[in-house]
Amino acid sequence: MVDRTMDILNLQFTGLVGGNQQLIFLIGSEEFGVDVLRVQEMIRYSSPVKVPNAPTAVRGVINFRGEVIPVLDMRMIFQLPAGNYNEYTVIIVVETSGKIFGLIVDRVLDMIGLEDGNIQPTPEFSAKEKTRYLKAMGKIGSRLILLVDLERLVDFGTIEELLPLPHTDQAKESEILTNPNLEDGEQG
Amino acid sequence: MVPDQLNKDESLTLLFINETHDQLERFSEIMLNWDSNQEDPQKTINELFRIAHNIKGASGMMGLNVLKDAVHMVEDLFDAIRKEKIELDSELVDSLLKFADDVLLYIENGQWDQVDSLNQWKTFFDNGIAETPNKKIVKIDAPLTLTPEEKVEVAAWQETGKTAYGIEVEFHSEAEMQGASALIFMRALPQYGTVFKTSPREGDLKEEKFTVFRVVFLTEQPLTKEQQQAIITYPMYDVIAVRIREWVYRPEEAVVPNIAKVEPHVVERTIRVEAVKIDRLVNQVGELLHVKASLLQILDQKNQILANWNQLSKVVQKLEHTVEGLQGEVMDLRMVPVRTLFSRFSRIVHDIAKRSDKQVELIFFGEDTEIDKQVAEQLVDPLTHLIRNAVDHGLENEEIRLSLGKTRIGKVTLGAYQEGDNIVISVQDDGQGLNLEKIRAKGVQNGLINSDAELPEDEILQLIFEPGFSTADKISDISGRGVGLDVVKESVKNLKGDIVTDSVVNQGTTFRLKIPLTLAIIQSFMIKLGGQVFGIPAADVVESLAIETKDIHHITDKQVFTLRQDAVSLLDLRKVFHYHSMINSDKIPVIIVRHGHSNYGLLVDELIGQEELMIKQINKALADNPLISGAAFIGTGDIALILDTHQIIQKYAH
Repeated sequence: MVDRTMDILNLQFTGLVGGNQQLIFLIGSEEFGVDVLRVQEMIRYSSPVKVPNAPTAVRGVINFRGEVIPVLDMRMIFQLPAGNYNEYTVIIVVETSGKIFGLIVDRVLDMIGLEDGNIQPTPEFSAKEKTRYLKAMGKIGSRLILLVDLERLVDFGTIEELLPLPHTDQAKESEILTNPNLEDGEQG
Repeated sequence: MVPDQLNKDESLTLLFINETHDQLERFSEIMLNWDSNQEDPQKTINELFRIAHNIKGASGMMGLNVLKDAVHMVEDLFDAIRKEKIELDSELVDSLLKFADDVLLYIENGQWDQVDSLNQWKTFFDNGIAETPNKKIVKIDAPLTLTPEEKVEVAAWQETGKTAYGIEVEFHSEAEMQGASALIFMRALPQYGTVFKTSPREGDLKEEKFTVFRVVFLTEQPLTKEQQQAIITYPMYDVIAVRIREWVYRPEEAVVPNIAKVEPHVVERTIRVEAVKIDRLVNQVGELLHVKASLLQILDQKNQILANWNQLSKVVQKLEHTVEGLQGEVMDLRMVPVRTLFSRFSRIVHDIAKRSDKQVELIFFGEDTEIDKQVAEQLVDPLTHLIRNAVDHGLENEEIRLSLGKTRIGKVTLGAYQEGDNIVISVQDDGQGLNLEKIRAKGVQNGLINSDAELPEDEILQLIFEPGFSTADKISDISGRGVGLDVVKESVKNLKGDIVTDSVVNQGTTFRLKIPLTLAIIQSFMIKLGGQVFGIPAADVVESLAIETKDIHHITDKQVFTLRQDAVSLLDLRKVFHYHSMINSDKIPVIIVRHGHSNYGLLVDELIGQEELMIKQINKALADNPLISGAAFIGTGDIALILDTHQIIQKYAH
């Protein structure tokens, strides 16, 4: 069965006017959010064109409305083990500081409004690398939403050397590169 | 002073800016070529008068009254010249050129209330028109204005945390020895810092035709109270006051704004088209090309199956024809004659020649060669740099030239011609040529090469494009200041071009900038690497061939093979990009590309063929990768990345 959440959400935010709305998605087991006003569109994952010698998290480039935009694998940004790309995998196309790029996430969930009172700064105790791209946390009932800092993500790549690369992925990467059909894990 | 209020109609404003811009360019052009012994000076004066009159009328209509009044004075000035009451001498020509610069800055800045310099000019010209018995203007105090380039220099100075001052020495109107006093004063200043520019210039001081002496003065550190006091109380005769104040140029003020950089004075009838519209049109054509490619592909595959295929094939042929025609037309819209690019250099050479006390003849050729407007704009800075270098470092001074049996006047030649899909712009001087020994020594000193390295001439010449490289013994006022030829190289590289340098001692230096005619659509060699399609700009490619594995020789850690008696270095792109080779064959496809003076062979998995590609810039965030210069949609709807062969060779072949 194909997940329709994405299509429904895409329809919803055409009529959206504002107010702290967040688009919520899953990476691993955590819930993350981005400001919906930054979201251009959600598209179903299809394999990007590789950019040689790019940082591992940059999965490649795609054609988005006639523009060539880079896409980032959010699992690698948050240093999680690589996952399978399946029918739930979505590329969220976002725009910030005039730059358009895509975020590969495991699954989109819903759209919620967050009151200012429910937003608090990211705690400092967790590892720096993991919080680098977070700007705050939101709370809805018992749900904890990690809010992604898109401004920081735009600069990704320029500070790439600061991030330790997961070694295991390096080998896998080159294997994937030689055969692009291997990677899509959609067979499962 | 009531600040000027601009008429609010935007399209009218744009029209005004464009028209006035053109008029001022024409004005400067005439001024630069002014020669009182010309055949019909009256006719030229009349044209200048008419230009002033037009600008006056237009600025009045726009409600720019200060501009109107200042130009009015210039109009009166030309009237007086026409009636031979005033002589248009070289000094007045210089003032009028500076005036035109200031007006240009004023209208392009759009800061309509910034009228100080206009007011100064108004007073200046007003004084100048007063009739004098010997037809000469006496005691004129020209405002000290900086050219846009000088403003950038001063701004750069301040950027680094250093200070700039303006100093004014006001003499009694009856003063007699003010020239000598000013000179002595000026000579005393270097103990605190550097004299950047003076008005009047040093050479004109002895004529004593001024009452105010102005200096732009640069210091490493802010002057102390004591130092300022020492300057203000410097002993001079007949001085009313010495004033000193800090000058602040914010870089954004110093940068010449880019609005309304329209083609100056073209004789043909022209239509102004908004650049955005052309870009959209170019995009459309890109889409059409894409459709064309897809159609051709269907045609290739299904050739035998459909009965009415002939029909379709004719349609496709027609479509192809139309699209190519349209492409030509659209690209042509962006093309401008290089004349529009070259014209500004007359002025620049005029200024540098004056400052460096050299006589220079600037010769143009191939001005009708057409070039993409965007490319032309991006060539302004590198060419300015090369031309400054040619005059400043290339040409010898008069004495040396004569002793070498050369002409007294140095020659700088700026030319353009088309060569295949490229335009070549050459900057040539007949000066001293590049000193290979000196460059080599400097290269060793800067750690760019080993002292025992034996380098061929062309590789030594390449050193001058390395960052931070400069052989000029002292930093001159004109070029230098830490900006080197590496910036030129960088700009040319951004245009996907290449520079070739040739130099003969005592005969001169030639720089040839080879630039693709247009940036938007390029002929491209399609190749496959690791199952993915890439493009290589055809302009970089010399030829393609397949070589036998056994013909590849390994010399130390390099792979080399022999192509028609020439050894060609090989670079395995599959290794560079960490791809495993997908092809295991005795024959390996190679693309031979040109980089500088040498050929290099790039090993790939597969050669596909040539295609016309509309280049898209990759959204630079995140995937900033110098090895990739762009991307394009190819017939199959996929994205092909375009390789920057120059970057790749530079990074991996050395």
